[in-house]
Amino acid sequence: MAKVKVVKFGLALKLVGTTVLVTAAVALALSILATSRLSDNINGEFASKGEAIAISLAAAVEQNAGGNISMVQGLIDSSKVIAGVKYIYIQDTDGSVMVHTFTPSFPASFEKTNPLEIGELSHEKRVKRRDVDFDTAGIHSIDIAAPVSGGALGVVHVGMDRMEIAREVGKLRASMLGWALVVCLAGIALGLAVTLTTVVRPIRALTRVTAEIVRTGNLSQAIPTFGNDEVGQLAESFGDMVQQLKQIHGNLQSSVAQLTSSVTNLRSSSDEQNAMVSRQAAALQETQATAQEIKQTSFLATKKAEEVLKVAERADEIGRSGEETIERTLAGLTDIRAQVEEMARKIGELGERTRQIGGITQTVKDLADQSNMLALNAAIEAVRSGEHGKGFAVVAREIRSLADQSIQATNRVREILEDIGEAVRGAVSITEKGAQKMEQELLQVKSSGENLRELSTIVRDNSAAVRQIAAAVSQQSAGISQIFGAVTDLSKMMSDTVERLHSTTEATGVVHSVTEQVSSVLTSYRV
Amino acid sequence: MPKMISLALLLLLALPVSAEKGVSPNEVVLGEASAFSGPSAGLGVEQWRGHSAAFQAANDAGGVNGRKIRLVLTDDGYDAEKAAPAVVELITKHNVFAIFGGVGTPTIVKALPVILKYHQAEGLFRFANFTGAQPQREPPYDRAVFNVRASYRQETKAMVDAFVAKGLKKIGVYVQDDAYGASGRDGVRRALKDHGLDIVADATYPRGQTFDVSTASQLKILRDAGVQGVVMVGAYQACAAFVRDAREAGWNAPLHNVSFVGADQMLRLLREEEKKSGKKLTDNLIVTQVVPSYNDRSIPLVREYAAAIDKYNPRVPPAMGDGSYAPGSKYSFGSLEGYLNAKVFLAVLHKAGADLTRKSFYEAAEKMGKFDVGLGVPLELSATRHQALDKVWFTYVNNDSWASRDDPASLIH
Repeated sequence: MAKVKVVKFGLALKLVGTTVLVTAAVALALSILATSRLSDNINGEFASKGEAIAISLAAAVEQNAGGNISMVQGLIDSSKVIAGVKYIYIQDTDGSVMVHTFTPSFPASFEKTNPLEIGELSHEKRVKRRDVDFDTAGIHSIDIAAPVSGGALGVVHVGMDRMEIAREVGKLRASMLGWALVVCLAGIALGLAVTLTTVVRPIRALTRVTAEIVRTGNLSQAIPTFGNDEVGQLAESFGDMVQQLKQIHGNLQSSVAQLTSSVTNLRSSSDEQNAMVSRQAAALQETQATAQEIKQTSFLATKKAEEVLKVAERADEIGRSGEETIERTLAGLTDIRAQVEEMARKIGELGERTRQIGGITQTVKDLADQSNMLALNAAIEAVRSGEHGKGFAVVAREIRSLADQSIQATNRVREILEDIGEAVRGAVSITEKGAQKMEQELLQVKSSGENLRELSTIVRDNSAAVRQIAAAVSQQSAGISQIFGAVTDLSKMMSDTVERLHSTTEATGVVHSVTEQVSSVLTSYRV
Repeated sequence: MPKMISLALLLLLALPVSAEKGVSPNEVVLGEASAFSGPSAGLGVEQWRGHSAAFQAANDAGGVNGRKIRLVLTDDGYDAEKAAPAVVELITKHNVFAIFGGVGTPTIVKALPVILKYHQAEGLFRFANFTGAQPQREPPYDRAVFNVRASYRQETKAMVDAFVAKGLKKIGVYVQDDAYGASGRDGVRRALKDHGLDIVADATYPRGQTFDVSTASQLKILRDAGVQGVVMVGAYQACAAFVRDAREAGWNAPLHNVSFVGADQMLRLLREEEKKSGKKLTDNLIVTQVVPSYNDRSIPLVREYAAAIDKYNPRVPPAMGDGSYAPGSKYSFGSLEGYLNAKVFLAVLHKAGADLTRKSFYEAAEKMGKFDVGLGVPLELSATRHQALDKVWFTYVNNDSWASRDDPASLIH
């Protein structure tokens, strides 16, 4: 409900403010005019005061002519204390300063600022007046020169302080402005009083009534009346206006009642519809969520199937290359076996030859033994032959030595042959053992090849199955995508519907609240 | 009833005729309007101390012709505007026999027309004022006044002559801005005119200026003019201040004061200042006096004065003044002059005889001729001479007081 604002700069203030401004301007103008007039007056007054002092001093000095300086000084000392007198000095006939009132000393050449010659003044004029500005001594004065005995006995100078005049005028200005302020204040008070009684108070009363109507809606209260002036007319029109307001109020009240019932009906049907659609929307939303989940799962299955297929193919490939490798190993092993057999046979031959060589060696040894025997016989014969057999004995010795050497050589050959025979036997046995081991490995490899072949077959079968699964999953995924799209479209359509339903409800609410407001406004007025 | 009134009127009229004002068979009443307050109170109080000691001594000795002297005091505070009313009060309210003593030129200048009027009307006169100014020494006032001391004109002439004799021709003055100062300035000007010279620089200060006020502006005026010797015509506070400022500024020109300055009070101020600053201030300082030094006990009057002061030792006038002054020492030039004045008055009073009237006193004074009161210098009063003494003493600071010397040239350097 609207509040009545507290008026800060009201009508009274505006009226009084204007009055004050006008009064202040008039006062200021009057003060300036008056003080400038007054300045002239005081100037004149000071000048004539100075003239009076100068003339009377001149007369006194005349009486004291040729006389005592102390007495003259006493005279000017008494006059010096008169308000406005800045200085007094008396010049002798020769122009020199006889007595003066200056401290700390008489300003040099100051006596030349307003000189007065003997006989310079006419009969009617008794003094010579001049404004003196002597800045070095800070003097701004009206200098009044009065001749003593027509100038024959000297000249009296009286200086009236122009600064003092300025101060006087300043004081006066201040006091005038002070009075102007008082008059202003009185004007304010009077203006305030008149405005308050004739304008502000009636308007305040009307404002109070208006505020009361605004606050309580009471249109039935009495409207005050005030005389026949503008404010009185305003109060009267205000009363008429309130009367009119009462009629309008009645009409409005019945219209609002009708509107309220229609709005209530509209609102209940709208609420029902709203609830139904809300339920549908909720169900659809759930469906959409489920479809979304299925879609997700199907997508994952497809992915997994593809991965499994890849693994199966890889296994098949590895199986195939394993088989090949095993077959090649088998062939290599068979070759090695044939070569080992050939080697065994050759080694057997070698043993035979060795044995043959041993027989030959035995023969050689037997021969050597016979030779040795022969040589021994020859040697015995030779010794019996004596001297003639000497030479033969040497040959016999030689042959015997040869036979020994041959025996030794054949022994060594027999030893070597025995070693070879031993080695050949060793080689034969090793070869046979290798051949046996090879045989066993060959058998193992063969069985590995069999197993691998079986595995490859299983893997190949698996791959086919996986491929079929992947195809099925892919088809399912496509189907689900279509379902999801359809559900999403449906959901969007449902949202639109709900929105439209909302605005309808809102509009109904607005109409309802407006109706309520109008209704409450209407009830707040008392007719 | 009307009879009674006319009788009373008759009695009233008859009374003044039969009895002279201020005189009774056993009393003479003197009125003194003087400086008992303000910056020159020292002058009034010192003078009062001297003459009241002399009068007390005379009274204790039985008075003169059986009459004792009684003083009625009023305080004019050395204020020219108060001087005439103070004198009028003494004459009309207290019916005094004569106006005795008093301090100052500006005050006497204001009082003189009153004195003259009452002199012409009823034979009143003024006796022994503590000033050397001219007005009361010249017509028309000289008829109504008896002076004891020499004039300022005499003092300044003595000093100026001494300066010129010493070769100092650029003389400046430092004077009070009133009738006293004007009188002094006039005296200096006249004395210089005799030598064909004039004052080269003229500085003034306002009456009543105290010791704490600087006199730098006056000092500048005199120094800038190249002054070689200064005649000061003022009161002790402002003159002591000038001496202080000159010496502290390093200016050592000879400085002369006339007797009125109050030499003892000035010396006291300067000594206190010396203690503070440690600078010697009293060199080349001369005061001309119209009495001898109170230390010169070879003079019988000085011995008598000292004895009277020792005996009565008056301090300050009872119920007078503002307590601004208390005597610094027992003896002073002021009190000696007061004592001398009283002695001269008593001498005339004695001569006037038993049948005392203003007229008889006046006539006795004019018939005094040459006489002596123990000063060693002859005094003289006659019909053409209303000033008893012409002698001027030159004094200088010696130890803690003033000593006099007859040869002024030896004091100037």
